[in-house]
Amino acid sequence: MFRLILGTTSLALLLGGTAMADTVRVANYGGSFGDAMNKICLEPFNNSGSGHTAEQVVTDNMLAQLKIQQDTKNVVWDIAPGAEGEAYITAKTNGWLETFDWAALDPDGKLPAVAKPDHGIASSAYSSTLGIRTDKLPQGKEMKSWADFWNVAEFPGPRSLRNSPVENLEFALMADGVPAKEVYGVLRSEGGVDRAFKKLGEIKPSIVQWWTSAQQPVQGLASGELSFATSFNGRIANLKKDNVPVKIMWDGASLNTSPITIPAGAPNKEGALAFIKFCYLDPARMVELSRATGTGSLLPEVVKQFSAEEQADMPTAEQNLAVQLVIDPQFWYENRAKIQKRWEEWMLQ
Amino acid sequence: MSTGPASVSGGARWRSWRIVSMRSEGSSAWLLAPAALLLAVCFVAPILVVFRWSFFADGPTLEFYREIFGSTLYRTILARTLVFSLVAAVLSVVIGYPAAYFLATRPVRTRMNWLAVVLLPLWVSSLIRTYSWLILLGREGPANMALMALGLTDQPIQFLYGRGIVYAAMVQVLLPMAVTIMYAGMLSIEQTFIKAARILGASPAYAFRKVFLPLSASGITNALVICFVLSLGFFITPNLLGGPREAMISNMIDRAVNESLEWNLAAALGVVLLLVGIAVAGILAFAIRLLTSPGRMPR
Repeated sequence: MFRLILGTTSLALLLGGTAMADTVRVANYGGSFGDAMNKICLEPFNNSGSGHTAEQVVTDNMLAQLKIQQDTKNVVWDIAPGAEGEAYITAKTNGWLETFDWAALDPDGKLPAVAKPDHGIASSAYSSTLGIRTDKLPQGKEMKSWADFWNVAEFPGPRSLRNSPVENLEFALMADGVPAKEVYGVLRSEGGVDRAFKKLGEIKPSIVQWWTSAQQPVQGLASGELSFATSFNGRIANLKKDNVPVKIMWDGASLNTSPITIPAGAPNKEGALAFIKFCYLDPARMVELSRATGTGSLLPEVVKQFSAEEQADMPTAEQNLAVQLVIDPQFWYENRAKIQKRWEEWMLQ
Repeated sequence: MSTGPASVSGGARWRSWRIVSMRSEGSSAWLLAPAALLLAVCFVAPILVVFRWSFFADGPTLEFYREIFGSTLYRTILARTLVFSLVAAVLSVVIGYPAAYFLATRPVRTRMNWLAVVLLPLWVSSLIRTYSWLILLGREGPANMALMALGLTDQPIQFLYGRGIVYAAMVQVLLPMAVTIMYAGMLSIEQTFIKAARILGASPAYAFRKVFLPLSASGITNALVICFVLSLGFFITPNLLGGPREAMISNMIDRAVNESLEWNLAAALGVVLLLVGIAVAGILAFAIRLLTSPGRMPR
């Protein structure tokens, strides 16, 4: 309830601001990602003489904000932040998003189909990956797969997974020998979810932290609290830049796209589209954004701009795409509620 | 919350003053208006909306309450939230009481300096204070390094993500509040009462137990209730320092609001928490009054 009240208060503060017609309110999750967006897209856009002024709005939850803006008919975002997993389908199905006219936005077909859902633009992708502290591995051994992560005898050390069934059920099935391409087939089949939970039961005693915010496992890897932890690829790559001996496991990592959307009834849809064109459809800016945030562009011409060494840590590099699981938001949209309840109860045991 | 340092009732309250204040109550009620208006708009109205959400989906329904009380999950977590909050509040009061006594019995000149020391932690955000535990008690943190250097343990101790550290961090956040509330109550206790008891032959311990403790009871009650109510809403501490076995009801509400968008359920959880919180706080206040009642001593 406290969060609710906080939420409504911050909303009230937002509403209190003056909403100028030519302002484009770009919502995102802030932090280093927000800083990069500001420098690479917002500031140049505001100096481009487009007649629009983009303004950053920081939020920590996309879906709840989107819902309340629609419920109260008070839309304060022109661009919503990336919708993770099934959140995009939830928002789209509830009619909270504007449709994208791709023929007008991308007439030359620069973007691949995967980047062009009906209600958003997914020009980049990120992965949920395993971060491995290489100095904590037994002498001469490498952790190469989820089966290795599950192998506590051979690879001892404190571990961390996200406190969510999403992706963990997939990782468990891969640890149980299911190839990445067949994971959702197994999950949809009779007994598939049971099999995943059973496998998760094996690793549960070795998970010291079940994280809820992606910075937790990263902080744990940095301090040595954790030896092996899942997080988002960009954050693990940042640790590397800070000289933490850490490696990303691409085999069986989960590739996500999180579409950038326009809320239904956005006050400045025209400005939002201008901003999207300026920022997300400009390969030069995507190169910079990718370099700054570790997200991988889905534009092949952007990926080509990076060195082989840089591509090794990029989710959309060819060799990494080949070994990853692509998350199926539809599965989670259909099954999240039921599996989530089971997850919470499983956590209590 | 109507209780706070400002409304802590002291020991020495003169009958005549009470009569005067009661007589003037009607005419000065307007003094409450600004606060009442603010609370009505920013507090009462949203709570009414939350109540409504908890009882209405497409029509009036009790399904959300049935879901809460019908599932082991929510019952377990609700019970856990109450136990955590109670233990943390009691610990804060027990640890804070001697400190408050120390403060209240300092000469006026040095009192403020001591008070500043107690309040200093409040200048640091509770998020940072919580994070500092992660660093201090980590496997490779200073505490474990010291223990290993001293040869007290050869393997780092797993302090984080357990119950002990959640309690420690909760008490750390609550302690300055508990101390200042009890201190404010103790200030209004006439030291001459203790002197009188001593002159009449009471030992220092007896005088404390029979005179000072009962007079400080309202401060204890206020501190206990406020710490308890604050703990009920703790969110960051169990989230960052505890494991799934430390998840509290606010973490479930967060999940329901932000991830699964089950707002009716979240509202019902909020209402249950509010009502149970009020009930337990009431019982607490009553129990303390009973326990510390001075018996035959005139009040």
